[in-house]
Amino acid sequence: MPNRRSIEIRCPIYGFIPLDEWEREIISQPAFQRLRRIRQLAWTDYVYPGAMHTRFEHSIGVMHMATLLYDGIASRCGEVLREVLGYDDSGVRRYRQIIRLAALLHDIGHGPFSHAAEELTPSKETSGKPRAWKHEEYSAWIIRTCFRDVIENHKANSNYAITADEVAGLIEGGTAAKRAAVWRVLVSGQLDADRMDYLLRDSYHAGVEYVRYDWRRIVGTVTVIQDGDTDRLRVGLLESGRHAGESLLIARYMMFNQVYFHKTRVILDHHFHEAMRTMLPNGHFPPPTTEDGIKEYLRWDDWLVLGRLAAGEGGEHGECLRTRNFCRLVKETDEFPDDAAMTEFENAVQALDHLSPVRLEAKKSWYKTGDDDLQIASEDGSGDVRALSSLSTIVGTMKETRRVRLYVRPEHREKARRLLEKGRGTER
Amino acid sequence: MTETERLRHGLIVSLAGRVERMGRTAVMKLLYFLQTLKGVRLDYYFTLYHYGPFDSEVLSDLDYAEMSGLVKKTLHRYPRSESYIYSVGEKGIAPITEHEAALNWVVEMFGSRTAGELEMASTIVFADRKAHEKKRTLSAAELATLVSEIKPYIKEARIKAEIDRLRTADVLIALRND
Repeated sequence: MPNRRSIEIRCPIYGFIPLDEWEREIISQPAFQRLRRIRQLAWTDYVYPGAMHTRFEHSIGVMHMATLLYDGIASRCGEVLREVLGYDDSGVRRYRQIIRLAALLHDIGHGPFSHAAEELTPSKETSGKPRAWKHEEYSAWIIRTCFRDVIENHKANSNYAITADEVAGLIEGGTAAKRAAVWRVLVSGQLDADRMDYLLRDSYHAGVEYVRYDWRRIVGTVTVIQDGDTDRLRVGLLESGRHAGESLLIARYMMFNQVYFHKTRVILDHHFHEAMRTMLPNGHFPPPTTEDGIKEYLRWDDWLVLGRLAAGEGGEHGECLRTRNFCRLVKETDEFPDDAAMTEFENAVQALDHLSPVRLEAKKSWYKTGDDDLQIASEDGSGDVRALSSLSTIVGTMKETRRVRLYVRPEHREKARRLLEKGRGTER
Repeated sequence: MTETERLRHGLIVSLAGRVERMGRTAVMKLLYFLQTLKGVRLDYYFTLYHYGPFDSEVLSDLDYAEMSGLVKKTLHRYPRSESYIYSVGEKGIAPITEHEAALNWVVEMFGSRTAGELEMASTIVFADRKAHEKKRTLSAAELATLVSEIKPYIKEARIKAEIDRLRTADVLIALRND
């Protein structure tokens, strides 16, 4: 291991996070420092005033968590890394470093106010229907342009020969990650560092305490399992970590319903989105495909947006944000609405059509909970592997939230209530 | 429900009715082939993991189909592992007629493959399409090497054999005839 000075950053979640000089230099880049000016949870502080943390601390936290997971795997599954992946000691270290860099930079391409800005990207031509650029794609382009030099030409990289393309490939999910692709699951997967960190960090700052899951146990029992059918390596947990895995999935479910899909939080995202469309040239950010486009995109952070909102920009939606006069909830379904409930909801949408209602759906949320099953490896020597959903009654019955909500402007709330009651035949 | 959602759910049900012992991997990869090789507009955004192209929205749609009774899920135990198998549920759905030919082709080409074979085939197709997007061409050997790097636990000879199979089916568009 090269003789590099270690630095530590204090973190409210982990205590101290060690970095080396190479990582410190990456963090010092303007594009990374910009993350200090992007709130992790957008406008959530309107509901949970403590939720003012930023993508900056989250990104460093994800790097730390990804390292803990990888180190746990390397210490317990050294034989798999050697025999199946062909790693020697330098290989183990190399892929550790790639994972650290990818985790550190995974959110570099976020727009202002994080996911609230996600649908403000331009259309990208594809072989199918055009679709919006994803923030992961912005991250990959930014890494290849703004971080290529500091990644590839830093003296510490003489030990690893890591390329910006490998790091970017791990984030965007293309082929450039090559042999590092097997570790993408630690950055974005069922048991990934991103989710593990944001659940801890978001619940801490929001003050939602019953969501704190047993992350130390997960780190202490994470393992790789070679699938007998596909030979694929899967990241899973040893049996002794099963309940910690349950606690993670329960935490995710609770945070989704309490915070990420909170009725006020999501309507504020809507107002922000509409306000931004009036502020952005052509109603969207530039694509990341040119240096000028990236430079212009990186100008946009929360400070720029707040300044322009304070100056009166953003149209009527900007005004809603300035005055807290946002649209109000008038109808919502249960978490898992059946056909009858959806029919009633659609009837309500029609009844309120002249009030220009806003419809928001849980399944379109960036934090939706549907995902692949966590694998649990027995520790009795049998080599048995079972899905957590089959071992755990709680996890087995958990379903992805499909709640749908309807909002109207505050001055229409009473009228909407009367119309909906009339529709139900309960008006007095 | 949007038209795209209706189509997704309908295709999941159609596949469940035609593919024996259809697991989650098969659902994922068969929908990938329908979208990528047959141009069925499902609006999924697949990215690459070492187990092939993946979009968590496929699993969301599958879970919705199961919750709604469109498909039913059964747990199958194998000697040292287990997986869920999907079959047609009790609740009916209007059949998807506009993509019958595409469905037939995908099921014939891939419906009887194992999960491992589907992962390998879909990874090859993904790598081929990525090269094509970047206006690159690849020889079979180059493609095999690239896929072998992504899936180091699979012998390159198996990958080459699958590339030959896909080339014969004329589905690889970046492949040179070296």
